[in-house]
Amino acid sequence: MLLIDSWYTAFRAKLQAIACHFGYSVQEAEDIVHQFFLDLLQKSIPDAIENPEAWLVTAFKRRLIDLHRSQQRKGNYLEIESFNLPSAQEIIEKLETDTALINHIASAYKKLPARFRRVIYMKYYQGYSTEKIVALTGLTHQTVYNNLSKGIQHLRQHLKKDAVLERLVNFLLCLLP
Amino acid sequence: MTYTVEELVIDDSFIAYCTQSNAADIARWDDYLLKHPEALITIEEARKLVLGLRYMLQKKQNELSATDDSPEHALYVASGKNISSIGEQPAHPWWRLGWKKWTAVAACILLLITAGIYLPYRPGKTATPVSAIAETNTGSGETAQSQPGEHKTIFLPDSTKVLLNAGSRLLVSPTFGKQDRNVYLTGEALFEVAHNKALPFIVHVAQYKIKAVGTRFNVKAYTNDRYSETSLLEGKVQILLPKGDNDIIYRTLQVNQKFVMNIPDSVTASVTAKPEVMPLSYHDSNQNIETAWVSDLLIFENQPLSEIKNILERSYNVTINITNSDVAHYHYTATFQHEAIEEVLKALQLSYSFSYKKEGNQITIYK
Repeated sequence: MLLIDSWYTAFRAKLQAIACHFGYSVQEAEDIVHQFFLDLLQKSIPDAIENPEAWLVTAFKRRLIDLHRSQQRKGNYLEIESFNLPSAQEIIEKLETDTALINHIASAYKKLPARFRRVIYMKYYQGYSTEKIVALTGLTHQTVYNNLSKGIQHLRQHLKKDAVLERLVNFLLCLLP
Repeated sequence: MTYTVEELVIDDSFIAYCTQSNAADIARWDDYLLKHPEALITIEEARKLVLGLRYMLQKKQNELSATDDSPEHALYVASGKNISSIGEQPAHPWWRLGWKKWTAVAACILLLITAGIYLPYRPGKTATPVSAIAETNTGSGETAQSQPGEHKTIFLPDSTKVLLNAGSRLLVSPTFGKQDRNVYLTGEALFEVAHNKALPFIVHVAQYKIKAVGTRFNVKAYTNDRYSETSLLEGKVQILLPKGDNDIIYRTLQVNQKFVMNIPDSVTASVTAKPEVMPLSYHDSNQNIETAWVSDLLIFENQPLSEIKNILERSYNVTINITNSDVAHYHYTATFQHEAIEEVLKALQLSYSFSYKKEGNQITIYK
């Protein structure tokens, strides 16, 4: 009971947003989520759920598929099934085990000009707030903000560009005899 | 209002939400998601980026911060190239490297062809950096010298290769190769030291010595710069600091580290020499800033004009006088390659307006 209460507090927003993502209105989504948690209270929950976020999202996706079928909504329910929204724990596990992914992020980071790397390093490694970075570097608030914002923008571009290139080359390699 | 991925990623409260470190922030962003369910995908991408960046920086910190000596400088990345060669398999398959290399080669050829067409018709310019490299052999007891605006490649008797940057001087000891391998440097040079365990190669600069067996490193020790630096690219070197009549080993540098020592102000004696070890700086994944001069690249990263002045004077064989202190202390970030001095100054003017006049090799900068 208490467990489900805490799950409701922690994951309600996310589940509601997933329902909205698949075309339900905010009110409908809220009702679906409430019903989902009420039903959970009636059920016996497995004892050891290691990753509640992932467990709930999967269970909720199944609920959406059931609703989709019963209401004969348009579109393919497989869309819901294949909708992948990794939990925080899954993201961290992936980062811990996938060396290629870390190298990929590192190589995108290394491509950034030093002024961007500097503030990004201070924020995400040293954990400083923007105000603290302003105080430490002597740069203006606007400059720090711009460098962070541009740095993240460039980083995303590098990550996307590399992913596209990799897919393209993989595709071309597939065509080779 | 809804936030973009960038706005979310750099928001301190959103970072606390991603790391689940503050209840108020978690509540704030849950509430935001309830009000803006359409932001789900944006939030998820931002969350992945925040966690990915944090984890990557922690995981790769050995490549990022060399020592605890200078956390304020531990801001730059080391080259993945050298580090991955130490036992780690390259992350990318061969074809990808090949593709990038070929693109770079194609771009270079295209540039050269374009330059070949364009340059003969270019009106005569003054004070362009001299990129022609003179090659000489320098024997024991001899001195090699490069003029401002000139790079020089020197081969020592033990087949060590030395690339001298502009305005530098290298004195080779008379007993070089027999009893010792001592050289004395004023200015900047990149050393590719021939391997010889029996006779360590020792570079003497004003305040310290660099001892190597067989390795590649860059030493910058100009008399008019505020800092003297030794950057290690391959192998290992020891930094020896004088103590009484002897030398003590201050630190053994690892690849992609540099030793920096500020030069005390001889007039006021207000600043004392403070040695530090820090990571090398990279302009991008391939271009190391410390040795950019070898490719005739001038890279300024947030440097005041008073420091840039020295580099320009050496590279272009000019004398620069800055009459206004605001201009002298303005920090510039810029990259130049094969530009005439006038083009460099015009580009700098765009960032912070100043005027200059050029009479022969004399340049005066004023507000």
